[in-house]
Amino acid sequence: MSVVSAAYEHEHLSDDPRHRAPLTTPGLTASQVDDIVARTPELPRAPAAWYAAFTVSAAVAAMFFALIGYLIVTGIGVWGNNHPVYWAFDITNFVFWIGIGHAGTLISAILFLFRQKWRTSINRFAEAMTIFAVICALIFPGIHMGRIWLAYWMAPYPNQMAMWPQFRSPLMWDVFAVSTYFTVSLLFWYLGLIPDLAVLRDRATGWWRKRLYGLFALGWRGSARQWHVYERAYLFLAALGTPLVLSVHSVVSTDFSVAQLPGWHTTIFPPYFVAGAIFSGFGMVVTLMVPARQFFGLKDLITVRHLDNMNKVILGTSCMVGYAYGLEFFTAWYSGNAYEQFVFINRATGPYAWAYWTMVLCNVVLPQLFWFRWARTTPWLMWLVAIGVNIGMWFERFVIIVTSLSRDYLPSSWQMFVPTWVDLGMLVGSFGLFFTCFLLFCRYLPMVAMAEVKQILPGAHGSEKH
Amino acid sequence: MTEQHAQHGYWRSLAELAGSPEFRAQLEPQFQEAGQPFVSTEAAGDVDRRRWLQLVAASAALASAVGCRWEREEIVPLAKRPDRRVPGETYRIATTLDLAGDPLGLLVTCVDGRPIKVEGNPLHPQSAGGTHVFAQAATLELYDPDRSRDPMERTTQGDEIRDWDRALAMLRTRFDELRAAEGAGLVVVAGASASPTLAFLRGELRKAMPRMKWLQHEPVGPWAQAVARYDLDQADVIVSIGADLFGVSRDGVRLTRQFAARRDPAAGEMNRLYVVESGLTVTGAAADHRVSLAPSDLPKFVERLSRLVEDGRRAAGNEGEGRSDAQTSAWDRWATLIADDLRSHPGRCVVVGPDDPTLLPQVARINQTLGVIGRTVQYYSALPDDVQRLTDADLDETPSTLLILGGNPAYDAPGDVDVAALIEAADCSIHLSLYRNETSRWCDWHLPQAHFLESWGDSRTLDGVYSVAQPTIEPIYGGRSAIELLAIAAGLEQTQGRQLVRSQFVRLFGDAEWERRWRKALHDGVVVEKRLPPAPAVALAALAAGGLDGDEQAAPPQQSSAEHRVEVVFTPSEGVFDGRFANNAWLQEFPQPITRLTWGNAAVMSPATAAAIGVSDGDVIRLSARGNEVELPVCLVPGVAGGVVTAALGYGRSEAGRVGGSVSAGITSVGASVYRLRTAEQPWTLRGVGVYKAGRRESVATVQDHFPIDATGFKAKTGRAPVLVRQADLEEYRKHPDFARHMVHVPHQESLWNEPEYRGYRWAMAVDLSKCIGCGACVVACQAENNIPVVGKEQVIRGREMHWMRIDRYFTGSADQPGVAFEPMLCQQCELAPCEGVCPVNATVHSSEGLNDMVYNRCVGTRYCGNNCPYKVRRFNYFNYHKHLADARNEVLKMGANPEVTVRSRGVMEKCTYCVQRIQAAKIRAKNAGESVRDGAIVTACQQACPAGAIVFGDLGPADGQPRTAVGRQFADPRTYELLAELNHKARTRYMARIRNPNPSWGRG
Repeated sequence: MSVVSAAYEHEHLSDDPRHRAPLTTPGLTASQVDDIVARTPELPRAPAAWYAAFTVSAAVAAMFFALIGYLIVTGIGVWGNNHPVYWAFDITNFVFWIGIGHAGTLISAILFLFRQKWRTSINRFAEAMTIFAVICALIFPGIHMGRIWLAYWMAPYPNQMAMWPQFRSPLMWDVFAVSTYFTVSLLFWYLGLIPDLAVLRDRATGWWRKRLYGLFALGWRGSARQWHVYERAYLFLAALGTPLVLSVHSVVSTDFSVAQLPGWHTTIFPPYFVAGAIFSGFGMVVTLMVPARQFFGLKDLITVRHLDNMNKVILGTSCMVGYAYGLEFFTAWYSGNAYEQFVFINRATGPYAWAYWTMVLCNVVLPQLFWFRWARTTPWLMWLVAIGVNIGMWFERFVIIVTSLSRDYLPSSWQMFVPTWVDLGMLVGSFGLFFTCFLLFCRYLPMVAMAEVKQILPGAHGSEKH
Repeated sequence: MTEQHAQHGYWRSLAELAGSPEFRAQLEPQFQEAGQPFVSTEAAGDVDRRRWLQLVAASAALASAVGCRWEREEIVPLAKRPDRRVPGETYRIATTLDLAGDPLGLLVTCVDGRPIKVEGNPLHPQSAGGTHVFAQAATLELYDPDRSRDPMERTTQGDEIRDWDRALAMLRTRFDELRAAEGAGLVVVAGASASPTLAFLRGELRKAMPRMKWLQHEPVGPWAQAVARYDLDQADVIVSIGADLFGVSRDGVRLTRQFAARRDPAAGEMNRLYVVESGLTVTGAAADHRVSLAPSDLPKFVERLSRLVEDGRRAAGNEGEGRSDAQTSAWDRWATLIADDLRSHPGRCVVVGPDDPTLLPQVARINQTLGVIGRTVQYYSALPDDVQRLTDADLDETPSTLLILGGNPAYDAPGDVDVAALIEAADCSIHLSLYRNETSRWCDWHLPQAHFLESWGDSRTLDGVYSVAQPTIEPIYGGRSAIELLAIAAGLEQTQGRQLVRSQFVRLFGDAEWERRWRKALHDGVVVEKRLPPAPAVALAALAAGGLDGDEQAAPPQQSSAEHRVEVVFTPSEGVFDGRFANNAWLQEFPQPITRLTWGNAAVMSPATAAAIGVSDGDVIRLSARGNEVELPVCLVPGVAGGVVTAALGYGRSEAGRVGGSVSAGITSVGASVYRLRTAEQPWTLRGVGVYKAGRRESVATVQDHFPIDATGFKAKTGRAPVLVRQADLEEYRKHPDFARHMVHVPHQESLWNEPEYRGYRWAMAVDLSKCIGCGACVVACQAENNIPVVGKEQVIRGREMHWMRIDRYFTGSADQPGVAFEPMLCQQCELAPCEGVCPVNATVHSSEGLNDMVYNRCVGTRYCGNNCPYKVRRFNYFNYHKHLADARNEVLKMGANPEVTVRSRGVMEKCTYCVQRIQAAKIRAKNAGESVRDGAIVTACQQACPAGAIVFGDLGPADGQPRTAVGRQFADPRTYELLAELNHKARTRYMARIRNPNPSWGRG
C-alpha cells in the first residue's frame, strides 16, 4: 500500500465545480482496491491490537449474557425500575441501539436511490453496524418482559385459544417494524456481500477459507446475467429499505406518542425520532470509521471527503433535533395543558436536569462545531464530537422515558429512578456485544464494498474524468 | 405424670413414653437381658452381637416414634354434612378481638376450616362492620410460622423444649404450693382486658390466693386514672386536645364511624372538629381547625379553655408566661372561639382529653360545665379495683412466682421500670405468649399462647354490650389461652375455654332463656337484645376541683453537651401498635397515614424544628434523656408543633421473629425502640430531651415523597393537590353544591374507538372524601383479601410496594398550619381504559360490566399498561414475592391465602379488580336464586373495612333512568367528581368532594 492518501486530501475536499473531486485516491486500480480491502481478512494472524480489543469486547459481551441469565432467573427487579418508572434503561437502550441502526440502511438504500456514489466506500461498514446495533436493540425488548419465556405471545401465530395479539398496541407494531427492518437490513447487507465474498474465495489459499467463503458466495461467478439479477435485486431491496428507514423509528416513537403520558403524548415524535436516529447512526459510523480507517489502512478508500459528508449529515440532523427540543417546549406552552408544561419545565429544572442539559450539550451544542470545515475534516475532533453525539442520544431517550414516567399526573406516585449495577452492566454489556460482532466483521469480512468501489473508480466507465 | 398419661391415653413425646412406668413394664420382658447390662454398666463390651442388634431395633422403633405426633382431639366425622356447609365454600364465624381492653366484634371468613379474612361485625356497636388495620391483619399473625409451638424451660444447660403436660404439671404443683401460702409471693402481670370471664377467673384466683398481686401492664394505656368513652353521635362540636381520636385509640372504629356519619353536608347538620395537638395525627388531618401546641403548652391551653368555658369571656385575660404577645393573643383567640362554640352547643358538644392523669380531670371538668357527662362522654375507672399498674406496684417482697399472661413487659415497660430484674428475682417466672419474645427469654418458663382466632373468650364494652369470642380453627401450634391457664392456676374443675366462657355467660345472662341466647350469641357474636349493666362511672371531674397546681413535669437535669432540646411525644404505632404486631409483615409494610412510612419509625418533626437542629429528611439523630439514647432517622412532617419530636412506640424489637427482628436468629430489628426514653410518670411526653446529630443517614421506606422535593416539583405538587382532592367549606358548598365539577375545564371529548355499551350491571365505586379519615384499614383489608404480597423494606425504598390500594396524602396550605387531604387511590376502572389499548397481548381487557379485567395468565410483563395508567395504580411483580412460601417453615402461611384469588407470579402486572371474586360470588348466588344482584349485596374488601363508611360500591343501574342504587345516587350527587376527567377515561371510581365545616369566625379579625 504505497499510496499516501494525505497527499490528495486537498483534492478530495475540492469544491471546484469544474472538477469533480475524486471519491477515492486517484490512480487506484481495481486490483489495488482488492488488495486494500482483502488485506485484513487475509492476514494469517490478526494484529495483536485486534486480539486485545476482541478479548475485552468478548469478555464484556459474556458479562452481558451472564447478566441476562441472572435477570431471567431472578426477575426484572434486578434493575432499578419501580412503580411509576416501569421502563428505564431497558427501553432507553432499545431505542438507542435501534436509532444507531438507522445509518446503515439510510446510507445503503436512500443514498443508493439518490445515486450518491460516495456511499460506496462506507455502506458496507455502516450496514454491518446496523445489523449489530439492531441485534443489540432486539435483545432489550425481549428481556425487558416480565415473562420472557412467553415472548412468542407477541406474535400473531395460530393457537388453540384462537387469540390474536392486541393490534392497537404500539408494542405489537414494534414487533413487526423491527423484525422487518432487521430482515431487510440483513438481506440487503448479505446481498451486497456476495460479489465480495466471491473475490475473497477466489483469492483464498487455505482450504477452510475457500470452502467457507465459497459457501456464502453462493456460487457467484460474476457473469453478466448474475450481475443483471444482482443489480435488480439490490435496487429492489434499496427501494424496500428506504421506507423502512422512516417507518421503523416512527413506529418506535409511537411506543411513546400513543401513550397519554405527558412528555410522551406528542405528534412531533415520528419525524423527531427519525432525525434523531439518523443523527445517532451517523455519529456511531464516524465513531467507528475514524479509528478503523486508520487502523486497517483504508484511507485510500474512505477519504476525508467521506468523513466531511457524514459530518454534514450530523450537523443537519443535529439542527433538526435541536429544533424538536425547542418545539416541544413551544407545543407544551401552546397546548395550555398544565401537565404537559410541567413535564418540560421539570426536565430542564427538575431532579434530572443534569441529564437534560447533557443531552442538549452533546446533541445540539457540540455538533455546531461542524459548521467549520476544519472541524469536519479533523479526525480526532470529529471523533470526540461523535462520541458526544452517542452519549447525548442515549441521554435523549433516557430523558424522554425516565423523566416523563417519574413525574406524571398524581404527585403521590412520583418516584425517582436509580439504576442498579445490573442496569449499568447491561448498558456496557450491550456495547461489548456490539464491538465483538464488529471486530469479527472487520477481521473476516470485507469492510468496504469492493465491487461497488470498483464501479466508481476513474476509468471504470472508460473515462478518466468521470 | 402417670395420672396424666393415663388420662389422655396417647403419648406425645419420646421422653414421656420412655419415662412412663407402663412403658418400662412393657419394655422389660422383651429387653431385660440386653437392656439391663447396657444401662447399668454403660459398656458396650457387655452386650453381645445379638443383644446389641435387639437394642438397635428397639432404639430405631423409639426413634421413629419421635416423628409421630398425634394431637389429642375429639374426632367428629361429618357423617352428615352440616346444613348449608359446602366444602370449598366460605362461611363466617363471629368472634371478638380484645385489643388492649378495647373489644371489636368481628366476622371471620373461613374456608374449609381455615380463617382467611377478618371483617367487622355489623351487629357489634364498636365495629358496625368496620375494623382497624390490626383486625385486618389478624390472619397473618394467626398463621405466623414464628409463633412459638412448644413450652420452653430455661435450665442451666440452656433452653429445653418441654411438652405441655410437663409444663402444666409444673404449673399445678406451683399453684398448689401457692394456694397453701394463700398466694403470698404470687404476682400476675396481664394486659388490659374486657373479658368478663377473665375478670371472674381473677376473682377466683384471688379467692383461692388472697395475697396475690395482680398487675396490669398496657404500654399504650390507659395511663390516666380513668378512660373516657365518647359518643360522637350527638356531638355537634368536638374539641380534641392531645388525643388521637380516630387513629390508634380506644373505640377508634366506632368514633370514626360516628364522626363520619355527620360529615355528609347533604345529610343533616355537620359536626365541627377542633383539634389541639402536638404531633400531626389523622384526627388532626380530619379537623376543621387544628392548632399545634407543644405538650408543655397543653395544660395552659386547657386551663384557659376551662376558664373561658366556665366564666365566659371575662376570665380570658391571662398572663403571658414568657410567651410573646402575639402567641398569647393567638391562643386567647383560639381558646375564645372554641369556648364560644362549645357554649353555644350545650349538651351537644364534647371535649376530648389526653390520656394524662393531670389533664384528663381538667378536661372532665370542662365537660361537666358543659353538661355533657353522661351524654357525649362518660368516664370509667381505668383499672379494676383489685388491680394495680405494673409501674405503680410497690413489691414489698420479691415475688416467688411471676405469671405473665401475654404481653411483653421486658420490652415495652418504660425505661425506668426494670422488668427484667423483676423476672430474674422471681423464683419461678412463667410467660404465656404468642411468640417467644424478649420477656419469654428472661422467664423460666415460656408457654405458647393460643391466638384469639384459636380460642374462646368474651368481652364486654364499657357500656355493657356482651360479645363472644370463639375459635375459628384448632390451635395450630397447640397453645393455651390466658383464661385456660388461669383456670388451671386457680385450680378450677373446668379448664376448657368453651366451658369457662359458657359458664360465665350463664352467670351474666342467667335467665331461663340463656341457652337460646347463648346459641344466638354464638351465631351473632354479640348479644344485642339484652345489655349488661355498664361499668361503674367515676366522677373524674371532681378530681380536678383543685385545678392545676404545680403539676408541671420537672425537666430532667440539663446535659451541658446537648446543643438542642426537644419535647418528645410518644405515639402508638399505626402499624405495629405497641410492638405486639412487629412480626406481622402486613402491618410493618402498612404505610402510616401521615408519614407514609413503612418498616420502621422515625423522629417526626416539623421542617422548622429540623432546620433549627440542622438536619433534614433521613439524617439520623440521637435522642438522649437520663442516660438513655435512641437513634432515629428524621422524617419531616409539616404541622408538628415547634420543638417537638414524635416517635412511634413498638419498633426495635430484639426478639419479634423473622419479620420484626430477632437477635437470636441474626435478623436486624425494624426501627428503634423508644420505650427506653419513656418514664412511668410521663409515658406520653418527655421534655428536655437532648438531640445530637449521629452524623449518618438512613434510608427510610416511605411510599410517598421518596425523595426530597425540588422547587419545580414542589410547586407542581402543591398546585395540583387542590384539583386532585377537591374540597370546600360548607358555606361555599351551600352556594355552589357542584363546585367540584367546575374546578377543571373539561373540553368536549370524543373517543378514538367505538365506546362500549353496557346493558347489564355497571359496577362503580364512590369514595366520599368528606368521610375518609385516611386510617388505611382498607389498605390492609385489600391486602388480606387479594393475596397481595409483602415486598420488604428494600423494595419499598426502591418504590415497588404492591398495595393495590393506597391512601394518597397531600398537604395544603402553609408549613405551619398545613391542611392534610387523603385520597384513597385504587384502579379507577376506566370505561375507556388507557391500559387496555397498549397491552400487546390483550392481557388487560374490558368486561361487559365495565370492569377493567386483568388476565394474569396472559400477562407477559411489558409493563406498558403501567406506564399508560395516569393514576399509577398498577403493580408489577418485579420479583417472585411469594418465594418464601417455598420454604417448608413458611408453608403454613399458605393457609391464610384467599383461594378465590390467583397468587400472581413474577413478571406479571396486577391491580385492583373491585374484588371481582366477590362480584362473581354474588352473581352466582343471585343466579341460583333466580334474581338479579341486590343493591348492596356486593361489598368490596375496602368498603367492608372502612370504619367511616366512605366507600360505596355497586351497580350504577341503567344509564338513562333515575339513580336507583346507592352508588348511582352518589354519582348523581353534585359533590361527585371524576379525577382527571379531562383525559376522557370515564372512570367508574369517583370521588365526592370533601366539605369542611369551619367556624365562620375563625378566619376573621
